[in-house]
Amino acid sequence: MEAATSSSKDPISCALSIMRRMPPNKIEHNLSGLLNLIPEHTDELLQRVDQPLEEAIDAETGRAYLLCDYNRDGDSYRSPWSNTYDPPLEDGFLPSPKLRDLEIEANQLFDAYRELYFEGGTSSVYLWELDTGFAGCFLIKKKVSGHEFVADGAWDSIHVVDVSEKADSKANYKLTTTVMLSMDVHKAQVGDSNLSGSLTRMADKIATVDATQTHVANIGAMIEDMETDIRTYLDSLYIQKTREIVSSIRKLRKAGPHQAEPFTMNLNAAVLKHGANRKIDSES
Amino acid sequence: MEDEEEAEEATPEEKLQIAQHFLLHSPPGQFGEVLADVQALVPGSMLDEGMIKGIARVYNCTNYRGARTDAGGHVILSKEGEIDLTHYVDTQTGNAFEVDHVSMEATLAEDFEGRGVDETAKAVEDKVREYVMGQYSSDAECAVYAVEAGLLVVVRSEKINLRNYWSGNWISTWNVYLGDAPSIAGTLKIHAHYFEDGNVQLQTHKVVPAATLPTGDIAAAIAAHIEAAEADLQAALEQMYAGMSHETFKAMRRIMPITRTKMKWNINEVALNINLRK
Repeated sequence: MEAATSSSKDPISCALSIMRRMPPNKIEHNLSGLLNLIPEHTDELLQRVDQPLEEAIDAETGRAYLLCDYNRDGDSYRSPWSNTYDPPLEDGFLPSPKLRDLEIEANQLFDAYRELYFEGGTSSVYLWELDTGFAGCFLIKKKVSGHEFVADGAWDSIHVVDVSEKADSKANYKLTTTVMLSMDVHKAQVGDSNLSGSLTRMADKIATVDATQTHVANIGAMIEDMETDIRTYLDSLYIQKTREIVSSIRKLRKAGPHQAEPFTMNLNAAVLKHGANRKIDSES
Repeated sequence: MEDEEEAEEATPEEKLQIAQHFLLHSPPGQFGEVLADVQALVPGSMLDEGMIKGIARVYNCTNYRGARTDAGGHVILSKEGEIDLTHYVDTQTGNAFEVDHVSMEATLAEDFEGRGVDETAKAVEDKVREYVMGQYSSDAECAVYAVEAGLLVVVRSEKINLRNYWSGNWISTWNVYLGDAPSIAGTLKIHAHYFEDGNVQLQTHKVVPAATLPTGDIAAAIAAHIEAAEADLQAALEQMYAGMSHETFKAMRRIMPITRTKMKWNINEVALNINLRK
């Protein structure tokens, strides 16, 4: 991959490569630096670099909603609950009445999904038309605080789905999911620690669309599986990997039997494999 | 959607500052990778050779990186061991080495006078090295510098495996006061980066407050103190990882809903449930 980055002069891929190396708890700061270096690519960078989600309150309904590039028009953001812009916009972009109906349904269902898995937090869904169908952005933010180690933490999910409608009542769904995680620790024994990161994965599915199996049901089921997979990967693989890196630098025990390390790795792999097969189990 | 206001062109000075910021925040062993990307985003002449070496020097000394010697060892780069911008003292031998901050190669500078070996520093370094060799992976290094108030002890290790998308380092620095009541205080910094399909990083910064050293064999006391403090931190990090998994991840998102059945993506069912809850 060194060769790929150094030979490539495409400014966008260089910028994304920098973001992949900079501390993930400083995304906004580093992105603003990149925008200052290559302002001519502002729009594309804002679309390609996922940022932690900001929250706002819908004045009409009093409900919280999430802000992203997909519900922004100029400096205003559209609420999924009242379909209005804040600050108000005369001619802000709105989905067609038909798509707005679907958006309302998607927001209701996704809100129920959020309550089921996150037991709190905020969700928002935004839809927009495409030539061959439509696209949507499904967002969730959940904050936690005051844990034994983690003083402040946040989970941000960003699911972007492209739907193209095909003949014989089928549709093709392309899903790109990014989950951003941040955990801040301030504790005497571990000092100031931060464990943060983001993980992006994609999925593709062709499914039948009818009265019972709606677009939202197809997309929802896809997001549900994807989010469960990413959660498992982040917890058992990505976070644990940073732990393994530390113990590969400084051993937990003094030098002795050298078989210890590969054994632990195999054990972890086995546990992970086992874990992947028992997702249905409760988490107590 | 309209253009952002950020689309204002930054001045050359601002661009250079941003480039420096990225370079100085390179993850362990990835200065060259960040440099290649940053160079594509700034005007061609901005990061000339002298500028790059200057930034690399700051990066290397801040992170106490090791430059490779012909003999296969490392010379730790630090402001305490700096003779001039390109020459550094090897605390083990007292010799001076000429260092290329970008290629990280060190060659013995025979026409350069080293500093000679400080006896106390040498004794402490031998003890600390004994501990480091037993506890760390083989590429770990340590150095002890005689400084005005006493000693500076550096323990550092860096593991780079970019082919498998990870790297990490461990840097601990200890200020030893050598007076009537010798004491030691330190700072531990850990950085781990895993970036396959993503970007996950652990960053730890722990200050260990000053403690009085027992009388007797000062070198052994220093090594024992460092070992105990580092073991404490690592054990606490293990607990932190367990806590994150058991408490924080669960509070963020459940693996399965409390009902143990997956979501029914049906608007009538959801509306019914909302009504039932009312």
